[in-house]
Amino acid sequence: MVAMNICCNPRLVSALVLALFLCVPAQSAKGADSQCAVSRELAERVRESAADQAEAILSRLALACDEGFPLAPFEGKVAEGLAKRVPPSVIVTTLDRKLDAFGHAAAMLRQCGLAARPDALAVLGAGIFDGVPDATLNGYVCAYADQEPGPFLWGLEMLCFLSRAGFDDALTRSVLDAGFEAGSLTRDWRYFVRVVLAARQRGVSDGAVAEAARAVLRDHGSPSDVSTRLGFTDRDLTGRSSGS
Amino acid sequence: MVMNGSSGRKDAGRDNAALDALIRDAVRRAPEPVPPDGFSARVMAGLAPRRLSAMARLRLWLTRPRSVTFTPLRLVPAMAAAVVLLAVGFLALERVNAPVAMDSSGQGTLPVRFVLHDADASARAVSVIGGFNGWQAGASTMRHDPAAGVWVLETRLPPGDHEYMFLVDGRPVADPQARLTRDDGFGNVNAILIVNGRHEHML
Repeated sequence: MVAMNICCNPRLVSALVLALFLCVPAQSAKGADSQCAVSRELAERVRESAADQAEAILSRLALACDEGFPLAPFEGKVAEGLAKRVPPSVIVTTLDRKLDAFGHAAAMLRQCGLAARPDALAVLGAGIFDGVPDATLNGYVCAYADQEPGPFLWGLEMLCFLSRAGFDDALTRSVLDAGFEAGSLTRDWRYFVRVVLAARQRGVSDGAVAEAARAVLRDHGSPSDVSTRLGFTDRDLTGRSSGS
Repeated sequence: MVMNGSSGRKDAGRDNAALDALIRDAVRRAPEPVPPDGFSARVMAGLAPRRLSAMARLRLWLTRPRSVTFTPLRLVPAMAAAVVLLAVGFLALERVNAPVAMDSSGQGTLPVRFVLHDADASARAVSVIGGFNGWQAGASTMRHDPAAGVWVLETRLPPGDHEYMFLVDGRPVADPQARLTRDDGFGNVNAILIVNGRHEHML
């Protein structure tokens, strides 16, 4: 066996070890950046299915990335369009509308003194895209900007669902006010719209639902307590999503 | 008197120089004294070692060249261990950065049943497309129940709100039973399924 004798400078060895350790966080940062990059699988699907509009679609996704918007809603919309065989030019138009909605959402948050955080952008951008009135959203964001991020976001989701279901804005605000005043707006309240829809099926008015919700929130209760208070339950333990 | 004094100092100087020369000569000729055995070692041992500062020791350690002796055969396991350590490190980082996913047992998911009426059995293939399966047409195929005249898919979904549509023979069809819907931006209507974490509420 041949033994080798090498004279090495510890300074050089230290530099190499340091470079190796610096390489690891750099790789980690690269991984974090890649979360913003368009997934390779989706890019391939776009190139296969959208042909001449592929670059236009991918450039919109890159723009969303550059603007610091959460990419998942944009990627999801492209995948949805491809699955539904929507003409690629319509996908491009829809992405442009979504970009505008998210840009508007970012401006709205900043205008009310809030950072354009991805989670808030996703909910607010989706609300604007879905046509929730600007005054409704802007009123909420500026009125509750000083709330904790969690309840602020849950209240915003609740507001968007209720608005889409046609629940009166003033009633929504009265319920939100009660929740924030009592500090009882939990994650479960995001889907308060379930109770509203179940109550409507039973002929209960929106006003009665809002009144029950305010009382329950003052008692730190949950949306289930609202239906109990109204005399029905919206439990469905069958696991069915829709009529069978 | 002055002259005599000066002459006396010169004589004394000459005498001193002669004496110095005599002494130097005597020392040069004197026998060299031999120190006793171990004298040097005892003297060195008696000296207190000089303590360097931490920075000085680090600088010395960094700048002093070192010799490393190795055999290529012994280097192979060390290199292999280094490669394995790096690979484990990178995999751990990938794991940290990866999005949270449900495990294969479906833990954290809840049972959901999609149903589409088709009494006259007019459809040949029906599937559910939605955000939960990446809007992939082949991911959630429904089975036909001729006795009940329905297409059925039983699956598991995580808590949250999920948009979906049926894909009937490749054509998107909105769920006619859905109570909560959303415009998809393409001119269609997606149904919204809300799955509650406590397995109490479905919509």
